Amino acid sequence: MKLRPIHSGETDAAVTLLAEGFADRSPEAWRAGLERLLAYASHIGEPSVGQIVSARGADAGICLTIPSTRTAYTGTPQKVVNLGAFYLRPGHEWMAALLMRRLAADAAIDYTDLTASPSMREINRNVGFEDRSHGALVIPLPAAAFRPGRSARILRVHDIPTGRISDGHRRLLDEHATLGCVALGVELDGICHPLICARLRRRGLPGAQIVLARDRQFIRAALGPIARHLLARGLTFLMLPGDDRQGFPEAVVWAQSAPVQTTRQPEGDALDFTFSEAVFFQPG
Amino acid sequence: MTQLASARLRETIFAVMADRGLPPVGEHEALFSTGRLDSLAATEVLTMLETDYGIDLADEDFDILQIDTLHDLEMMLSMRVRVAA
Repeated sequence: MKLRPIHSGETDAAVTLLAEGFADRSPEAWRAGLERLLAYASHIGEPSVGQIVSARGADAGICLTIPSTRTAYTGTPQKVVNLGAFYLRPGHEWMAALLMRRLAADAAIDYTDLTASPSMREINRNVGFEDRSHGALVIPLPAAAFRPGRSARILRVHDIPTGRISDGHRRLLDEHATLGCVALGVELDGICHPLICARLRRRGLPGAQIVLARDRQFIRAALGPIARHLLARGLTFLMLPGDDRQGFPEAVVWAQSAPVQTTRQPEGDALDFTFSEAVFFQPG
Repeated sequence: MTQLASARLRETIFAVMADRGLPPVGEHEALFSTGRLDSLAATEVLTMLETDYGIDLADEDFDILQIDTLHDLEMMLSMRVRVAA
């Protein structure tokens, strides 16, 4: 088994494997997402965005490795690598554990897997990942939109007055808005917080998933205005990790959803999946 | 009788196969690439190679294809034992 890094010269080989392994997305959609990812990696000076696996001289699989530095709600910046789109061709699945060991070899990095299949979840647990959540909450926005506004106010990223949000948060909002996310400032009790959601589709319905939020309490407190804002943009549900419906009575628990798996203990209660697979591979 | 370098590993593999109701396997029959044993069983074998035999799985020289048959496993471990000695 050999690994070769994915850079712009490997786009065709990577798209072939991605479209074969995840046929619910077209080759064109994979190519567009991969190009976004390569442009981002080039911008931050990272040489590759994943590895192609070969065995006995033929391509046998792929895994994307998306590097970033977590800064939004941490005391110390934390290097993160989000592993995504893990696929091994039939007959090569048994190499999964070794591949994960090689991909997640640096103890200083927080490796994350947000979309592992049931069999990969078990392998991840065996190679050092821990589950940080179980299932997902799916909040129907038409129901949540009836919540009162309380003191929350939604600001589009360009409408956030200078000085109301830190430079780091503003940069994250700008970068994710450019990548197609819904990036907002949410004023709650006089403080402006960043909120980033990625678009996704479930059973044909357009929705959003949390990419960055201060914590669940913040989402709960501002859910009414957030729901109305997202609903007005054609999004019908909001998804966040975890199966605890406390404070979200309108939510449905989706137990089969992949857990958040990471190699390092999270610092604090923030939900931070910035620059992850969900961001680069949103539906068109 | 010569002690096989992979004796403990063989016991584990045979136990996994017995758990799954699989018949005994020949020395040169593929364990994993044929799907006889799945990726979780491979994880178990790899973990044992690392913890009990001190093999560095992150080492690029370690080729996973060397563990696909009992014969290959024996060869790989014997060679490493010789090198270590």
